[in-house]
Amino acid sequence: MAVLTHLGPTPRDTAAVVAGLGLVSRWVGLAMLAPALVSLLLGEHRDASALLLGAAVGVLLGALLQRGRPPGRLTWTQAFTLAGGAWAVATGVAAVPLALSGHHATLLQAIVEAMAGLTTTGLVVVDDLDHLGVGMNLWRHLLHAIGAVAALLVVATIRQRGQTFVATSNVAESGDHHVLPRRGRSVRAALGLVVVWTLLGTVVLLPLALLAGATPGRALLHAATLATSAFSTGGFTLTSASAGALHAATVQLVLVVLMIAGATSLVLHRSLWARRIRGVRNELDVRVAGLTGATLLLVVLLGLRRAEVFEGATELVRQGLFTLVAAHTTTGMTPGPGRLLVTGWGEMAPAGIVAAMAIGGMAGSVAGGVGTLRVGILAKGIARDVRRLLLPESALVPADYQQSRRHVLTDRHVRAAATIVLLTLASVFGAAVIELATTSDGDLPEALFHAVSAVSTTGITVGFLDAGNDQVGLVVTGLLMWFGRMEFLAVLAALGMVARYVPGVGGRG
Amino acid sequence: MSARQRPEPRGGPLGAVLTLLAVVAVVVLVAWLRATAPQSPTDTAVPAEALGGADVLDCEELEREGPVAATDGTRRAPSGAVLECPFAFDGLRVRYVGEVVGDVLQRDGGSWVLLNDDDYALRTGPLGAGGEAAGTNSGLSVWLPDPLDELATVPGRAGVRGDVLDVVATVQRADPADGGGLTLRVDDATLLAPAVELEDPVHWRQVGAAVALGLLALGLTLRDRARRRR
Amino acid sequence: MRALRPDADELRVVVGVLGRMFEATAGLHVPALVVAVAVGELRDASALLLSATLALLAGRAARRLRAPDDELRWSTGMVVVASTWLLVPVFVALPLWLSGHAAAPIDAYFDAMSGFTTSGLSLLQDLDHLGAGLQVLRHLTHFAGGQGIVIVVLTVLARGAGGASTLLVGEGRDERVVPNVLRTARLIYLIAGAWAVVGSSVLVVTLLGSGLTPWRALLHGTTLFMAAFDTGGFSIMSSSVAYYHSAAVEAVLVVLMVAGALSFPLHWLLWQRRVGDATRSLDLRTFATTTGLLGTLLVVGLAVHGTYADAGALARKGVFTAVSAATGTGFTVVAPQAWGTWGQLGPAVVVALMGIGAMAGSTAGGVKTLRVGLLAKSVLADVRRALAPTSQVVVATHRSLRRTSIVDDGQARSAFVVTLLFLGCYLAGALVGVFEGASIEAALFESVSASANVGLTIGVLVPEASTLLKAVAVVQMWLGRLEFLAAFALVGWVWQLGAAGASDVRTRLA
Repeated sequence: MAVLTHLGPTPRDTAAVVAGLGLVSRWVGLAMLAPALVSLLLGEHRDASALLLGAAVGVLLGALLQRGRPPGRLTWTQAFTLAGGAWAVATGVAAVPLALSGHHATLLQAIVEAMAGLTTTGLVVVDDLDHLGVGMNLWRHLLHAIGAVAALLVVATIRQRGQTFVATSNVAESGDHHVLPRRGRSVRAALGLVVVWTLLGTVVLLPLALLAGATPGRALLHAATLATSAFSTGGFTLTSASAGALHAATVQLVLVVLMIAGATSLVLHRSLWARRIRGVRNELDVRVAGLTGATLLLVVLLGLRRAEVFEGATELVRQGLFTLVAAHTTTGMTPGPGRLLVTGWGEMAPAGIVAAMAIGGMAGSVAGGVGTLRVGILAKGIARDVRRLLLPESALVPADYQQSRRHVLTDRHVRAAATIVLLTLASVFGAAVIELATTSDGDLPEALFHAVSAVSTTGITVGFLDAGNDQVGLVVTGLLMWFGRMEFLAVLAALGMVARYVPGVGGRG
Repeated sequence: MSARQRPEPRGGPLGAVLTLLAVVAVVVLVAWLRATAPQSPTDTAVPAEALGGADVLDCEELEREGPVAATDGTRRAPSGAVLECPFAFDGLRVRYVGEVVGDVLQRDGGSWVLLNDDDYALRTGPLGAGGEAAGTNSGLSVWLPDPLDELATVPGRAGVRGDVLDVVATVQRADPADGGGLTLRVDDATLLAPAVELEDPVHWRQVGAAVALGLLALGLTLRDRARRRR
Repeated sequence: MRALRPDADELRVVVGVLGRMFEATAGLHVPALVVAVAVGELRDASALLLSATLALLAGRAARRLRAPDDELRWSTGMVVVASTWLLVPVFVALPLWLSGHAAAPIDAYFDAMSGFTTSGLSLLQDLDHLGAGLQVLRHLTHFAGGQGIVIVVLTVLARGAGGASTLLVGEGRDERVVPNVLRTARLIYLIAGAWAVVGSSVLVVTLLGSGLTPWRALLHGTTLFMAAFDTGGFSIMSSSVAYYHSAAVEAVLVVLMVAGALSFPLHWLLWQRRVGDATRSLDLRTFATTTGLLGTLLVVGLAVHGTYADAGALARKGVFTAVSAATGTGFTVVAPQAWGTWGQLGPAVVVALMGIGAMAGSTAGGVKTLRVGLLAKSVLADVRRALAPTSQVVVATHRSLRRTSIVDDGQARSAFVVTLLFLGCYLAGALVGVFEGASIEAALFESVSASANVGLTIGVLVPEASTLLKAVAVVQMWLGRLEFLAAFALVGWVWQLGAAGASDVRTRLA
């Protein structure tokens, strides 16, 4: 077998990627049929026709791209190009019914909403959510589920290549012409996890919603949407009251469990499923999550105490804990109006929330943010440097960390983590500066809060973005969510690969 | 290298152009459908005099004059102001007007209700059947004790502007009964405007497009499936 | 892995070197004493004499330990540097405390630390009535902290050249300007001296032109030069540079501040007219880029916010503040209360400039533009690697002085670790400030100013602030000056010393 020294994509590559894109388009379109049915049954005819139209567009586009031929097995290079392009295609198709719902002032707004859904951010971009049709609202939540499955699919696939890959590289190291392993297993893992937990959540939440006073139909709606939104760490909710809609402590407790489950890595789920609990304690990202979670919880509670926000301890803990978990898992639901976080929580507590959002959930889960694994790698890297300084002989013993098995901590690891952290910081500050420069009465802390919320795909809405009017802010927010979900370099890798398809830039076409 | 010889893919530049045209066509279609969406002729505005006109409480006034400015429940507090300076509003008795949205959660001794006082609730009406875009919703959680909660019968939904209630309530910035949430505890309420179901004319062009493209999609899918079986 | 525990010999070496530091500190008091006596400030003079004597005695006592004439190990050198910066300010704090201008002992120590770390924050009250002798002492601490201490160490330890040469750049990697360390130190003296003569003269002349009397002009001129060239930021008057109301003075100071923010190897290159080599340095380029971009953003932000109606005033205030922040000097033409008129973007940009800092190997603080440049190159390399096709191998290089080196994983990691430590310091200090009641913007401003040894203040660090806040700021200034690693070395060393059994070591010392 000849070794390919490949400079550009072949027609086979192009066909494989395009066919894959067609598949994505078709499935996103087909997913719209369920909410369309709900709309029809409820008599929301405008939404029903919008969703049906969207489904048709998705399927037609898919057919056009696939040209009747199903894709074969992809190579790694093709797969990464596909991942990048799939986001674009999925967002475009998903935005069609949203654009026709009448709840978006501009097409851009509908696209950013679709992006907020698929990236499991959950930022409220839609106008007049409280009067949005049930079917259309279900479509929004379905986007979270689709985004979660897609994210887990990527994780499951990459995992089959090797654990080191997840930690050290931020993207395909370079082109790779080996073929992906059979995708059935990855798909089953990703889909299974999302479906099982969402169903479980719905079943548990349903009686709680009924107890809270909702009518049966509405209770089911609340249960299903809350469960989807929490496990996918998205954050969309039925009404503008976010997670406080049902005014029930039990509901919030269940949501906390679901959110944490969503921020748990796929590998850990598998271990827990197989009852391999003992080793879990030593996993680096678990330890970091525990440490940062506990520390930031203390910071938030202390800050709330200092600002005398709550009188009773129960309210303090309930609101503080829920919001912190929602931030750290990058879900983004709030127990009350999000605006209160910046107007009525003092100075210290919001700072803790921002830190939690930035750190995010575990690597290899649906959650966003920098990732507890990276934070752990960085902390270990610093500790190693300091130790080397104090005990020069310790340089002979390599540092290591645990992620399923022990890995050696190399400069490569630290450097990869550093790149992501730096890109995150740079994008947050750059976005804040741009938004402050273009809006007349911007507030810097709010701008930073919003930027971190977007790039970590959390989605806590504090009212900084005026989605209907602020086009620049909308674009910046959309870019932050996209880059954050795809961890920066993956976007660039995809763009780079796409660029090579352009004749002249790439090799033979 | 695959074991089976796969036919060389066809297409290339032609396919790219076709796809691009298709995308452009979709964008144009969506834009056209948005532009030609029929508006609902129903007027849902609550008259300004009923709302108390421009005489609303705001943060600067409260900061200057203190709690006295609220004059014990006669002046209206907009939800935006309450969220902007919650500490200033804490414990004040104010008037609040809002549309019931979401659910009426009937529980022990009353109901939890979300009352919105944004433009969709009180002025231009809900989006969907036309209507003006006016940003996100804004409202406050309200506790209606028995029997006042019987006034809230129809919550706002798609195509429905819900019951508009006029309440006198005390602002609880960190209500223990709601686990620390910001609520209004109502002691007096009246129905200002009953629910209005908007006339929702069918967007025939959209329906037509959906049906046409849907049939096309169905047809193509069936053809592809048949082809593959051969 | 067992470390080489700090043994008696090492302890003696450290204490011995510290002894020399104390003696040098005593020497520092001399010019101040002369001025105090000449002007007739006898009370201050007696305080200065007391402090000088104590320093001398402490130095002599330490030297009696008869430290072995060994080569200084790198880690021991770190310990020396860290403890010097911790202990020497005690002697300077004494006359400040005795002068009555400090509300509490910690305020006096704060000022002394601020001087030696070339920060420039001050908790002294009634600065405008502080005696000339003490003013001279304060400014001399800038000089000592900036150049003097390192030079003294080098000349004193010239015999142990092999080990001492690593002290110049604390990474264990140094830009050797000349093979002989002693010559390096003398070169630094020469360059600094030349700048001192020229700079002070120009300043004195300019100040005479702006209306000061001859002796005052001399006093202000020399002290301003030290504060500018050592990027310290102390000033004799509480209104800082705004006191002079002179565009000419500000212009001269801008030149001096930038000169102070250039690394000494770069100075040497410029001295040798090798401008081409100088401009190719990554550090310089990054410094120019960040300062230029952010400075422009600042001026634009001010213009948009409408802070200054007159374009001239806008440029003057904006450029001066940008340079003052970027070089880590801390001179201000804006009163602390007036920062509020700068809107949201202005102070934020200033914070960014302060945080990034200037060139490594100069007296400036902050993360240092060399690290920023290395990290940028590293990230860009990753980006290019992501975009590049299979066959390309992407390698980042950077240019420094005479050679081109590869930005490898180790360098990137090292740069990043220190950057992260700085960021952590900034945020931790801000958190304490918020805890003490400041707004988050003000707390962050002050925290960055302290950690990056800048000295611009927004009004959080004042005599009325809590002791906790002051103590935290002192630690931040110390950590920032030492770029963390030396401080950690000291902490670890002391810890091990304690663990080894202090009594054990003591008996062996006798």
